[in-house]
Amino acid sequence: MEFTLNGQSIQGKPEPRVLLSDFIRDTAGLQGTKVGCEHGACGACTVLFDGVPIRSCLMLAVQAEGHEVTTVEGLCGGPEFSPLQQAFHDCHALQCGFCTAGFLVTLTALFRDKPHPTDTEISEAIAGHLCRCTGYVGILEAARRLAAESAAAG
Amino acid sequence: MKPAEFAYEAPRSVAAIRSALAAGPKGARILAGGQGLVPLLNSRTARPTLLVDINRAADLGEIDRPGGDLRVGATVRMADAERSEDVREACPLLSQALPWVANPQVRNRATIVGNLVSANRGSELPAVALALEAVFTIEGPSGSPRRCPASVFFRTDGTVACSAGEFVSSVTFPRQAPGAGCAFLEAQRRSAHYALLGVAAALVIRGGRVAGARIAMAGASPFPVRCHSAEAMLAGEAATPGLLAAAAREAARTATSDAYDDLHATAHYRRAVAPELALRTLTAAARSAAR
Repeated sequence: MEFTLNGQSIQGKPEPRVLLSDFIRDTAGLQGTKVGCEHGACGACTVLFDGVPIRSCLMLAVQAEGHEVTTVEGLCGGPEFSPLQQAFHDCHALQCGFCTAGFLVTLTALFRDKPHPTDTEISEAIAGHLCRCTGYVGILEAARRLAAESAAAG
Repeated sequence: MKPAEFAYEAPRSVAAIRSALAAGPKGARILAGGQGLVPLLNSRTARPTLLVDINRAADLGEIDRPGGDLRVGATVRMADAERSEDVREACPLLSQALPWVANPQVRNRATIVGNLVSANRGSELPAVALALEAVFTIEGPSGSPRRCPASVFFRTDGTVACSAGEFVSSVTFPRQAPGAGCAFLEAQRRSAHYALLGVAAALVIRGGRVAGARIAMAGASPFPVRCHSAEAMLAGEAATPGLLAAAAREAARTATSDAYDDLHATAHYRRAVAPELALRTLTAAARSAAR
């Protein structure tokens, strides 16, 4: 079994029952992706699968064969924050951080497809993510600020 | 928790899926989008012996338009259908209902057929399939597919008419009449939850009178319900607010005949909310119908 993880080829022989989320964390050693509810409700395990945000806890690792997976570790090229991560930092959009990777993955895909999302589009995109500490205000503020900045930048 | 052990196969064709199911042990399950099944694996509520992953099978991932109707293959993702011009044109009611299902990340992976086959009692799409008289194409050991209308597919015990060794390869929605007014509304605890109650309605209005009405409800009873008597009340009549209200009460009465209690709402709540939700849905459908 071989697939592309954050731009690099990765091989493995997981048992069919190994979830993609567990393969990413335990075999590939990338622990930015969190595992919460394991039934698709919380959004903590969200990764990009061929560029599209999906629940990695609801896929088997073997299903990734030949596909491209991007985790939170792969969202920015180097040690610098991406503009979205900077906005999260500036707007206090995280406390414990457990949900943060999922929010960043989903919002990265949103801003890639729609650089100037409306408030409604932001809310709809993150409806599949639960945060139990910030109460969403900071998260929405970070996304709005980035939308406004990208609008101002043209 | 984590899934119990199972064998896994990923056949590349419909014929190979049939063979895998026929040769496989009892207790084989189809894996499509996995958004309903994998949670059951994770909690070990489901313990299949074999998973037949159909995602690599050719020809199951297409949306096409045989004779103008809308055929949706077994691995078509909800998110792709949501963006599809073909779906909007042929079945606007389906387009209206899709954003109510789960959340965007789940819809990126979940399939329409998988959702229909799961027939969860709070699930939106079975009501749409019932209202639009969708037809399921079911492959089985015989090698020649059979066709099964939604009215027979969804059984009143909450199961579907697809037995072990069989699988649904596509569902075909007859094209809606051009200009049909469509609406889907639901009561839910929070965005992305199953419907406590959902109403699907499509109204064709010609010369101020209702030329065709389709109404079905989700979450009202443990199975999707088509509201034939309410549709009959509307047929041929002027769509006045009074008539829409009467039809909404009738739809609610028939749909909630087996209303149930669950963790999220009581049967009493469902019966109380159904007439108002049906009225809002019918009113929205009537407003958006071409005259």
